[in-house]
Amino acid sequence: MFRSSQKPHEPLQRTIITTALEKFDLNVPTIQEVEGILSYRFQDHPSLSSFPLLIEDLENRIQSSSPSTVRIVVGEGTNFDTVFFLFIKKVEEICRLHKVSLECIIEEEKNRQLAEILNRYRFYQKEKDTGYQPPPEKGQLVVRLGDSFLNTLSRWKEAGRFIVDYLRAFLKSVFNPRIIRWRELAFTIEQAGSRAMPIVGIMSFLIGLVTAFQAAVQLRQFGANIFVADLAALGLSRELSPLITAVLMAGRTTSAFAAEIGIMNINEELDALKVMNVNVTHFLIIPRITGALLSSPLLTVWSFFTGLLGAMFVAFVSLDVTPTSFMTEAYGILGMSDLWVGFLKSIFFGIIVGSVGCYMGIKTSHSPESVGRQTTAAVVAALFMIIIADAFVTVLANVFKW
Amino acid sequence: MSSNGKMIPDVISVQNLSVGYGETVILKDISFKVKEGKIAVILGTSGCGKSTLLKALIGLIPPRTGTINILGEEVTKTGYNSSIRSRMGVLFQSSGLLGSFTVFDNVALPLRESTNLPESWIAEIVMLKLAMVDLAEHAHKMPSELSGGMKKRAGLARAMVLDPPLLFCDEPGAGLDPVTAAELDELFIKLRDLLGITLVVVTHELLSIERIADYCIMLDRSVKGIVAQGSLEEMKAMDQELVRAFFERTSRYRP
Repeated sequence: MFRSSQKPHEPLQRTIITTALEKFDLNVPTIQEVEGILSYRFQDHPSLSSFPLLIEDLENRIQSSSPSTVRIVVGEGTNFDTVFFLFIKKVEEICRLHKVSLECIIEEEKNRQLAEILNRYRFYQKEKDTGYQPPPEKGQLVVRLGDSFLNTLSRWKEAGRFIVDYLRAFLKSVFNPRIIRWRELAFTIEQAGSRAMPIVGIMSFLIGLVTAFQAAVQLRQFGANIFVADLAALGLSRELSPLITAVLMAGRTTSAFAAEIGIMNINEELDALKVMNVNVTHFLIIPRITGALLSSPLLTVWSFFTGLLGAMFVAFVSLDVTPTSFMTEAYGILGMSDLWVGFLKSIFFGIIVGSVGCYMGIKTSHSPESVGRQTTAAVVAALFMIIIADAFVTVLANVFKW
Repeated sequence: MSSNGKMIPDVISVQNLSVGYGETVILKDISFKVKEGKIAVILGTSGCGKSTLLKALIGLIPPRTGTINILGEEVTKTGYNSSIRSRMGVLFQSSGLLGSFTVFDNVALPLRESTNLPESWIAEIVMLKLAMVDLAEHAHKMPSELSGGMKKRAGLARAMVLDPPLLFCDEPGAGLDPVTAAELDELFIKLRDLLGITLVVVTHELLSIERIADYCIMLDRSVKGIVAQGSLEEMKAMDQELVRAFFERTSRYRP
């Protein structure tokens, strides 16, 4: 609220400003207008939000009563700070614009010194012309496409180098098993494999159950109830089990590898390994990819049996097929080639899950947000590559009549 | 008492404070006061609980017992509300800049969150603060593009952006070269003298302590608390073995 005013101002404007200031419960200056001098006297520090309102108020007053001078008095005991300084600078600009002279009286020596320092920094900043740099022009569509193509090419080149490094280290480990970090490998198998068993089991059971249910409706119409076992056994062994396992492993293991190695990268642990002459591929990558490679077929087998259990449950409950008949039928229909296709897929998927996670982790830059970005990219890339590999093996199986 | 005979109020008053993590007690029965417009330095050997005490003061660790009074509010009772938070700045040891924000946006964050100032005002204030710490040219950069010293200065600009009357600094000189560390000390002295800011600085760097400290609070692991407190001169004149060893930079384990 305004404390005193010798010359009343436009009531409407005053009401608006006062209400706005009152709303924020602010300490406002004493405002006086005597003989053409509009004076703002501060004894306290107004709240930050009031400064823009005061500027608005000043402009209104200059326009309505055209004073010859604006006087700002920063009284003793006023808590002078950056926003206060900025307020005075804004007043300066308004006075210049309306050709009104400005008198600024800072009563306290400490505040005067501070204003001088802030002024110095302000000019320094203006001279150097700092501030936001507009983002560089992206260029035309063709240029952007070219850039994107070159970036993709360079990423593939890096990925290729990573795979070559891995294969070289893997072969070296095969011929010299002593260099394998067995404890780390066992830990990875435990984390990526055995700890994933509950979720893989539940998911596969439910998928087997749902598949059998969907089939049951149709098969019952033709009295071909027993064929639910054929459908479940073939579907699970060739396609569903490897795929469910791989999708779950991409969610659990790929993301874990990417985040783990990414954080190690941020903490300069990878740099420390390099300067200690420790081969990062042997130390970190081999145990992880190999762990994923071994876990994937094992989890796929587990997924196959739990899926079959789900289908068997539905067959028993809704199609009156006994478990013995179901198993006999499933055993009869499954050939070596069906198991082989599923096994081959699981091997491919295991390699993808492990290598994509490790590669994305290694490629993390030295910032925390990069870990999140790389982890997301790792899961997306792994899922994409899993589908590609799935299609590839399916086509291969078709060509070779597996 | 100030030079004009006026009583200087306490900005921080800690009474019988005990702090710990889980079952472990790190500090017990801590009591001290920090006067307005002074630089209080919390010092001590590594692992004595300096940073733990700072975390308790800024409300990151709830105290087990005791009271903390900051800027006239008993925060152990009222909690750290937004009014208290906006009146205290914190410079973290690792600067604590948000990696996904530019330096400009990091410094602007407290203004955007705690005030209704228009964006043009915020931009001017941020650039002014960045100019004060000599980082105006790096406003558009990401924290990952800055050196350790620059990160620390950006962290200081962010801590000061609301012009808080109270500033906490955790090991401000750690990892900095002597010139940058000395510049930071100069900045602290300017903040105290010109803005009347009260600073609580955690450090074990002797040179820095001698340059800036108005009041020292020395902690030690053996007693899990304060072993000595007083002005720099009082501390240096003390006969306690640990205090002497610290200020003379000698080992306390003599054969």
